[in-house]
Amino acid sequence: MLLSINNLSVSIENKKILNNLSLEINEGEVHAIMGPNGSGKSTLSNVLAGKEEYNITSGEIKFKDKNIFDLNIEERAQEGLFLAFQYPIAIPGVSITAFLQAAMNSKLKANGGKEVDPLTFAKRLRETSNQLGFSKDVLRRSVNEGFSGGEKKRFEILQMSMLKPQLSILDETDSGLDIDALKIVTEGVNNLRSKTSSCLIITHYQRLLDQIAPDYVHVLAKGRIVKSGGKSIAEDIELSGYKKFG
Amino acid sequence: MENIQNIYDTNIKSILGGNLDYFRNYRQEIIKNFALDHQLIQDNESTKHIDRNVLNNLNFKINQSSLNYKHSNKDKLDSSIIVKNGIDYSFINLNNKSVIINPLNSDFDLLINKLEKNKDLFKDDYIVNLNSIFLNSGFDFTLKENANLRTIISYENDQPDSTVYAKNFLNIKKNSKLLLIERFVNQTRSNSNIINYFELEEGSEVIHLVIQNNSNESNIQFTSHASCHKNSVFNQFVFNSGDVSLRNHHYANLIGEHSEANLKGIFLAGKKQIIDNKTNINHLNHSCSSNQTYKGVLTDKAKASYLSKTFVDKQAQKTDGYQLSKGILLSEDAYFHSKPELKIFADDVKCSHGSTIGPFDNEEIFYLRTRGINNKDAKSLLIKAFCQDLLSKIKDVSYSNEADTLIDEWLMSHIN
Repeated sequence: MLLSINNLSVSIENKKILNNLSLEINEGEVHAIMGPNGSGKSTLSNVLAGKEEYNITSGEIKFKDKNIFDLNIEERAQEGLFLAFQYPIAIPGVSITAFLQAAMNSKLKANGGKEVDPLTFAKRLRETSNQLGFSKDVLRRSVNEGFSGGEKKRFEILQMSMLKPQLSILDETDSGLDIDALKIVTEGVNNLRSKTSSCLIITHYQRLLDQIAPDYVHVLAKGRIVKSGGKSIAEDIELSGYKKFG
Repeated sequence: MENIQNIYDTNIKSILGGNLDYFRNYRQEIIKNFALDHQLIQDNESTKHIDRNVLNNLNFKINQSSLNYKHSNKDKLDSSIIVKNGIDYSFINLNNKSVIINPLNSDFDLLINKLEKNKDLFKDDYIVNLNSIFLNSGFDFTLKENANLRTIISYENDQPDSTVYAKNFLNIKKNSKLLLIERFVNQTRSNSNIINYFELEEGSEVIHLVIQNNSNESNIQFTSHASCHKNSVFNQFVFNSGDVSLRNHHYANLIGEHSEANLKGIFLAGKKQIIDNKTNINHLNHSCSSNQTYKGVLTDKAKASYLSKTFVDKQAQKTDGYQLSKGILLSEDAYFHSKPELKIFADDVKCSHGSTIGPFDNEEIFYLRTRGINNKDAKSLLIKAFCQDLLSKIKDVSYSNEADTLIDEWLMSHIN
């Protein structure tokens, strides 16, 4: 089991957001979580990534058999958890290269490896960015600075491709993407699929799931998973919305 | 603090021109018109933001030796000026056709001329007045027309309690270019009160790059003034990462049309340091531009101030002036006071100012940490980016590399 969430309840400022949520993801599986606005989707992804303003009132999360709450934000990332942000922020002055190199080296060092040599890193970055349709000029910029909405989302996928996480959480990565960008993003995600890496896709729309066929689809409503099943759930939601899930 | 008059009388022999009538009268006038007593330090605008401990403990052990200098030419070395304990000057590779350089004691008539010319600058500044009273060091430098020079001034104090009151006069003749790097890297307990007077003739350009990395108790009060004539450009950058409280006050007068002055700086401070920064640019002719930008990173109980001012005279139409201060506060006890000021008497101008001071953006830290970068490295990355924004525009590689290294060293010892 890669990720196991048991009866997780989370609140923020005394407002309960997640309510006894349980979910299990095995290695190699792709899960999708769909749900109406305010159902707790982003809270779930933020709690998994380690955002500190949430109050965990009950439950447990195990990632690679480790209690995730014993790991701080960077330790979770170093263990192989990756969050593709819904709204990636710009960090003026921090160059993409310095940022990605620092991220890769932190992960390698934490796992007892050697730092990546600059030439190998540059080659990998060039290849990956080509696949994701980034020009050389874009890579000279600061992290997300001056990026369009689509470029920001593609840059999240570029980071994911470079860091090769074991569990990728895509928080509404499809929102704000045009058809072409969506195709690039989904190709990037599909390229990463393997027997050992898993994916948790949070989305409102079926169109993303058409291109990344998930193994399981879950419906999140009022802070808990109310229905789980195959891809047909997404088709059902596309036709009749979330009303019946209360 | 001892009475200034008594200290002056005791040290009169070792002060430049101490026995000459002009200098005696010049100094007495300052002492008479500007009661240099303890109360004044409390009330005077020029010392409002300085570290009072530095002022109260100022050591007035004026070096009893007179100024010495020697010229030498050394292969494979840049031209440079090494100033040891304020009195021993080594001029390296400056004995050439494009430069005239002499210590101030070599021609008192010339010094009188310079002092008279600059008499009205900073009249009410306590630190400048101290410098004028106890002046014991300095040089006169001329870069001839159409010349191009890169040179370095290094201040080296190895005698404990050495006290330097220096005035340097730098004249940049028509269409010349000077890249001047000024380095303060001292470990010995000392006090350096240094004023540079730049005169930029028509079409000339000065890039003045300053490195300040003095250890605790090696105090600096550093002042500069640039007079910019037609089509001249004065670019100054002050980098400070030392452990000592200091004062950086820098001024420019845009006298000639289409002249430009940019006064910028970065300071990193911790413990109980007090960093007193001030820039002031006077637009006195039309079509001139200026930029005053200081950025600071403060931790522990460090305090900093940055007062900036753009004055636009009524005839200085088509002025383009910009002021910005930015600060990152790494602890709750760190403090940064920023006061941008605009005084505009012309109607066709473009002037703006901005100020952003606060702790790190938690969202930025969170984003970096979700990529496996630990808290300390994330902060370091953001501070380096904060500094790079200004440093990346400096084209002198050796200077920006030294600043980069000093930032890394500062981060190692101040970020946890």
